[in-house]
Amino acid sequence: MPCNLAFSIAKAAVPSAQLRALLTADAIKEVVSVYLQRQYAGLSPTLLEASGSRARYRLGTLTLTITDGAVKLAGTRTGAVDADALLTNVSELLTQLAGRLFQSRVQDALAGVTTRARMAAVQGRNQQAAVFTINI
Amino acid sequence: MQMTVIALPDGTIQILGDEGPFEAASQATERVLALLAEQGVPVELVGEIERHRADVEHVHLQEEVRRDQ
Repeated sequence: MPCNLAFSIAKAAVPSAQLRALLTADAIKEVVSVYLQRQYAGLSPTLLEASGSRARYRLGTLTLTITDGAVKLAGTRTGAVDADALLTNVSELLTQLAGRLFQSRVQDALAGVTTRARMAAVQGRNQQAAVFTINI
Repeated sequence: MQMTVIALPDGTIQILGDEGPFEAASQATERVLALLAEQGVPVELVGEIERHRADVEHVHLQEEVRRDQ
């Protein structure tokens, strides 16, 4: 939206704990499973557990545990995979997923008053904004 | 009143009043925040509702892309 049409501007944020709370096992298990299968197929990733806010996967000799969006790795590091890169990659995936889930929650919350919904790139940032025109 | 709500993936939103006067846009902003809270999205206002000026920092949008619905 051209900003010269805006009369007022307000900024708001959801607490970070609430953002992490969106990363339930049900919300993440499929996305993470597909990602691990694509990126780490050689380690035969297997979902061991998905309940509440925790999901656990086996990758070769490693166990990857995600709790409230935090990622931990346990087991024997064999050199078959760069464990630090794995942690970083899964953490970044979860950050992106939390953002999409947040945008979906906002979309659902505004559904009754939305006249137009779209995605738009944000100038100067590597971000996609969910943009809702509403009548309220 | 027509408003624009921009939700960013970092958990922040910006609420733009598309129409004046400022007082009415400000009240509509409060209604948006209340609606979000009612619907389980507990966003907290950061700072105050501001009149739009060139020096009020806010996001600018580039090209639009399709949103799957």
